[in-house]
Amino acid sequence: MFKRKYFLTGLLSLILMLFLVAGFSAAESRELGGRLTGDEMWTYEALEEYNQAPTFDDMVAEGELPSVTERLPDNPRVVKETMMVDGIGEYGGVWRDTFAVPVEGWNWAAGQTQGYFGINQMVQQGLVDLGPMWMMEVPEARPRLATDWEWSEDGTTLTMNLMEGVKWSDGEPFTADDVVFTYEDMILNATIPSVAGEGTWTFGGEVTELEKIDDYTIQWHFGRPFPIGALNNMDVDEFGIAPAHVFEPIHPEYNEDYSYEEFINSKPPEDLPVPTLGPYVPIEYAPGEILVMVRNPYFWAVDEAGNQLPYLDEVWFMEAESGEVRTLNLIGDSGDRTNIENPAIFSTVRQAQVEEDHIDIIWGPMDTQYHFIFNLSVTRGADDEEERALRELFRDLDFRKAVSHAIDREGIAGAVFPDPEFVSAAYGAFPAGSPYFEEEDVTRYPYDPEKASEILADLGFEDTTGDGTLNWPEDTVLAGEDLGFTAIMSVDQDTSVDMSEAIQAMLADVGIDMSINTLEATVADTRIDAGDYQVHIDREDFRVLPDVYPQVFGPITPDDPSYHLASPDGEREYLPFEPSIRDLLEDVQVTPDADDRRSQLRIVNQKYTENLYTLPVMEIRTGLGINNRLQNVAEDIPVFMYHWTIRNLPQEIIWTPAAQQIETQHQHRVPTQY
Amino acid sequence: MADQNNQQQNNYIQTEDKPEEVLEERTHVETYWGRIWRRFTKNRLSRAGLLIVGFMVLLSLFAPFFSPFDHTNTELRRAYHPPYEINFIDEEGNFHLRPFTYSMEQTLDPETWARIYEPDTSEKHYIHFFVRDWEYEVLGLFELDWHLFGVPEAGNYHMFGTDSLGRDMLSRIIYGSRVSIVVGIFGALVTIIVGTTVGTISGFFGGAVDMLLQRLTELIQMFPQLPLWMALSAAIPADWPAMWVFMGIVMLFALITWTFLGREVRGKVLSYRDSEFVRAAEIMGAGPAYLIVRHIVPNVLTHIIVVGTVTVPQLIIAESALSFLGLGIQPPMISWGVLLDDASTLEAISQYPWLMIPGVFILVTVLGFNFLGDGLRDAVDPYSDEG
Amino acid sequence: MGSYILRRILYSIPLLLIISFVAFVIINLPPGDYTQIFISQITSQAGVSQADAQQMAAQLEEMYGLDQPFLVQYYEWISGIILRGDFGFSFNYRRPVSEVIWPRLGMTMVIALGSHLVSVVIGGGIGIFSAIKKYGISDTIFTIIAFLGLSIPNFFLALLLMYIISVWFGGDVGGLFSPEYILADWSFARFIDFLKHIWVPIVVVGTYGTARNMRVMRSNLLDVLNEQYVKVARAKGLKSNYVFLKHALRNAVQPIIMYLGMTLPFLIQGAIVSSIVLNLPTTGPVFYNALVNRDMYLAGSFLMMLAVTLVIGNILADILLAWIDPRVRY
Repeated sequence: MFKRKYFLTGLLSLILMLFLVAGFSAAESRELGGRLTGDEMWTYEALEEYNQAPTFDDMVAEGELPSVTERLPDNPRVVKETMMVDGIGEYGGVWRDTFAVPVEGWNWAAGQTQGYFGINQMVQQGLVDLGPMWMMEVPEARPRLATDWEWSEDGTTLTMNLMEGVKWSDGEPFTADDVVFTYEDMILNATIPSVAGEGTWTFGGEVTELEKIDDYTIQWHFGRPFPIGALNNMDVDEFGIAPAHVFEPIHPEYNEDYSYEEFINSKPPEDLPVPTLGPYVPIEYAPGEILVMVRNPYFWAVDEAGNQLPYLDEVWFMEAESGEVRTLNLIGDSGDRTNIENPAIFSTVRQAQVEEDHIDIIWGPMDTQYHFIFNLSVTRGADDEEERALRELFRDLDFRKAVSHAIDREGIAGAVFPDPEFVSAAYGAFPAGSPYFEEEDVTRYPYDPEKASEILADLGFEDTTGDGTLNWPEDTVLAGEDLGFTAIMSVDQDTSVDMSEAIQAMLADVGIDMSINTLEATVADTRIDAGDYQVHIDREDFRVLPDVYPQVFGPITPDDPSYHLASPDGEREYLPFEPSIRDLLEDVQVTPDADDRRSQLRIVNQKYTENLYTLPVMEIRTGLGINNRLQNVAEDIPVFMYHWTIRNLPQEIIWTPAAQQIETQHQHRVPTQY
Repeated sequence: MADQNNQQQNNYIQTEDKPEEVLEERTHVETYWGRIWRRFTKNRLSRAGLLIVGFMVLLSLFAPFFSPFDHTNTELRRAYHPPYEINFIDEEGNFHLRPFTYSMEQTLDPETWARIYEPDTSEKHYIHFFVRDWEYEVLGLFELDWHLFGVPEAGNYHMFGTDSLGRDMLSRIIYGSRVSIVVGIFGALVTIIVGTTVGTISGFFGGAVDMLLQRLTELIQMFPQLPLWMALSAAIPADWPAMWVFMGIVMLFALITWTFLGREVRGKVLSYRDSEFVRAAEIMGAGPAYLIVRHIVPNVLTHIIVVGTVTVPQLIIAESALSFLGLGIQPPMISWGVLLDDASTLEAISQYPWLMIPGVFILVTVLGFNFLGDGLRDAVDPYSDEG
Repeated sequence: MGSYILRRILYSIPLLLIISFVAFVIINLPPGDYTQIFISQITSQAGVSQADAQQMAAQLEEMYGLDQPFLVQYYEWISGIILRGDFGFSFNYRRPVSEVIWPRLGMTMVIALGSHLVSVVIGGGIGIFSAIKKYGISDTIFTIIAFLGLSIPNFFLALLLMYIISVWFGGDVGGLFSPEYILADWSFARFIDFLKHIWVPIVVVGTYGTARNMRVMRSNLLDVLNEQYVKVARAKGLKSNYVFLKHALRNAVQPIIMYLGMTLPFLIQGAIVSSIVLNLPTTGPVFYNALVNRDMYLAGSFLMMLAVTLVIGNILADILLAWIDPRVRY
């Protein structure tokens, strides 16, 4: 028995080592993580000569487009070959992708989604670039449409220069007016449901002001020195710059003929093309079937040889009824990439990879967690005495410890996927793949049902009815009632649902009656975001980089975190440890020094886990499945880190050798009229 | 009509004290129900249907007895275990009369990352019949801890494998049969009660009442059933307790399916309404309630039973479809539809095809009821082909 | 004949109105409406404050008349449909209901009609064959197959087919075209690609109908063949084949035509569940999402459209029947 086990472990580690060795030998050329400086990624400079895709040659010859030099800005972004693991590419071919959320409309600055799954990131553009930060030795926000910026001495003013001569895909110039319009009339306008709002832009109690200095210079004025976190709000989706020349004339603030509802819906899904600053222009949307994009003739980046990017001619997004089709499309070679975020499909994609030649899988670090989350708010949603009593119990650290001791995290992780390299028990506020994670910061309250029962008994719970479930003590509002609560989750989160059922059985063992209510995704989200739940069990995507998403970890805005919402008037009854977490998170946003931020965040993890703010249960690695026809895909690209895949690649440098290109269909339809 | 008289006559004969030879003769006279039974059992498919339905009903009535495991019992180290093999011959090639299983150790195939279960052949676990394990209540009457079969020691035997949490599929299917079959039968009963009542009232009283009820029937029949059920069950509040949801679903089914029976009963009642024996009874002073209960209902009873039998499988399918879509029964209550929901993704069915077994149970049960219904219909139809 | 058709149509108008009202009532049964979902969506995902969100929701309510009394809402909705062909606005898809439904209705109809064709041709054909070879081995086998077809829930059949295709053939399921053909013009290659995708839903949706037609055709034909006039015709020395076609088949086909009336919505409802399983861009998933998201105009319109197809189907079936069988009076 034992020998066999050792043998297997030995075999497994040998295989693992082989993998690692293979990984390292290839790493010379194909890995980028943590290796580059800013200037090795891109610069903004004029080249002697520019080239363009053959389609545009014809269009220029026929007078439909200005020449490439006229279309490009004075100093375009020059993407360096150091970022291109396969080097400078060839023009042509198609990127085939899949999405499963209908396009809401093209007024993205007003909060309309283009269907996620990467579409938002292709059509919306921000001032800074967060995606490729994963390649950097010292990660920091990189310039995008803002080419450089400077903090004033006191740290309350940030001056940004914009790229000069950039044009929207319809040929209209992009200027500071677009940025100011986006900020003042969309983001700050309370009537427009933009992704970010005043809360995001409040530092030191003051809403940040944006001032236009000239057409290509803007200045931010902050209420607190060095709010470096603000840069994280300047990429999409928080800061998808709106084309002011399209939307200002119909903005209700400037045009009384339009109501806000009409304004927000003024660019319905099929109303294409739409002016964009991105590498591709959407030209046709057949709802339920496909969204087609073609190369933007005015895209403002080139490679070192002066070839205007992007390399690929077209993007086809197939619309599916569910997200898992994206994986099936990759396996069936009718799609080019998928995110592998669901442990249930790990072995499916792995088998496909073994059987099919066209699939590469790139595994990222442990970056996604699953949490068991108590609603700790007594000022929101705790409407009656019973609910309040329950929430007060949740707010008792001893009770949270008891529940934590009742949960067999290792068992759950093993059932989900029996390889701890990919799915493991979680105890930390950040997953193990986070740069801020240190094992020693984490306090663990591991599986120990006897201890759980002891704590519950100390809290006064006793099974007075003899039915196996504990009852509330006599001196409470809920005297004699069964000790229980309801956990809600989204029904499409298969892993969360499974996890809940396992937890349900474990809690039943210590006498806690947890009922499970699976809800449709939208209903579940709605209730979670409104604080209308007792417990929710959910996947947590944004925990790997707590510096970028501090609001996930503590109460720094009234509408976050969902596990402790403030009342509608902003009131919150803090637990003893909460103010210190809040202050730390606020400091992180204004601390320019990376090491200082690191030590602040480590303390957050200590306090968070010591107090079981939420109960981490399991964490998983996520992977990127990609068609290996596509070139320039680094071998260690993360699915989600500072941004999502499309930005992490970045997508405009992807190309396909001519022999493997998918035949284009819409090259004659590059829009010149909007 | 002839049947009816025949039956009454036979009853008469039975109650009378008769000499030996007459009794002998009586055995050749067939009762109405006897004839139906004879015609019914003559059909092979009907017999198969009766067998299947009987088996399923027993299974659901005595679910804990047939279940080797508590269906909520999770065994995380044995998640997604494929159906166990039963062994008779051990490693050394010795034959054992009593089947046994081996303990299974889970590993991961390093190449395909599929879960592999390897037997630990050092120890055999024998399968026993009538083992004592966890306690349960039989029909809410008394407690028992006997189970049809099981592996008494540390070993396990999962006939149909396990699900994502290592729960025994067989036990879950057996428990699921409770909800699935009860929804069908209970729903059909309510359908019969409502349909018969409305149909009888409509046919017996006629006039404005009839007119109103018939328009209502038409209106309900104007909607295709499944979308209507979907819409109505979407209206069941998400925070209802499981039992309420269950009752709600049953009521929804009955609410819509009664119309078919209602129409048929009305037609029959109309024809009997004017028959001589009813008229005679009416003249002799019988009230409407008496007439309906004594004379009319017995005459349409066979028909009602047939329609009821045919309704059950329709409702079983409807329940499973709704639950499969997440609009019907909600977990942790389980029905076959709820179980099948776990098999709704391509990953699941390609790697763990045994998760589709509940679908086979739906198929077989529905098949059984269809055989039964078809056989009954033929048996009660006096004109059906006797050859 | 003309007046008969006219009468049928006129009679159905009040019926349609009542149907629309009932559909509207049903869709409004669930507690809460879209504005609640809207409020929490914008407060959480878009960072709008509660107070502003309330105000925006009020705007939304006013714009779509959600603050009106129920009857007024119904009146607005139904008059929009009748006068302007406007089925209301889908909150979830952020576009008019008709724009959501129409493009998908086409595909739904293709699947429904394809399945119907299959079930009539194959089901009817096997039914005739079975009746001729009454009680033979093939008849027994087909009887069992028919029972299986009648008993298998179509979502389970869809799962089984998905399993078979993915495990045995390694093909892709879902969608109706490969990506390169979605927007292409119709060509032979596109048609072939379409067939490769469409057969699965057609089999799934058509199975029940095929099985049913098999049974119905068989038993009717047996009945008719036993009838006096067929026997007489045979006795008169008419050739067996002629009798069969002229007399027997013509009468046996009636119930299948009657079934046609209820068939359309039935097939559409079959397409709903299997489309959800198979990820097909038909009306099924849309209806499901609409129900779940309280997208009431979308769900209501769809429910009503189904009921209307049923009414129209019945009228068509009656007309067809009257035309085929002169004995039917009209």
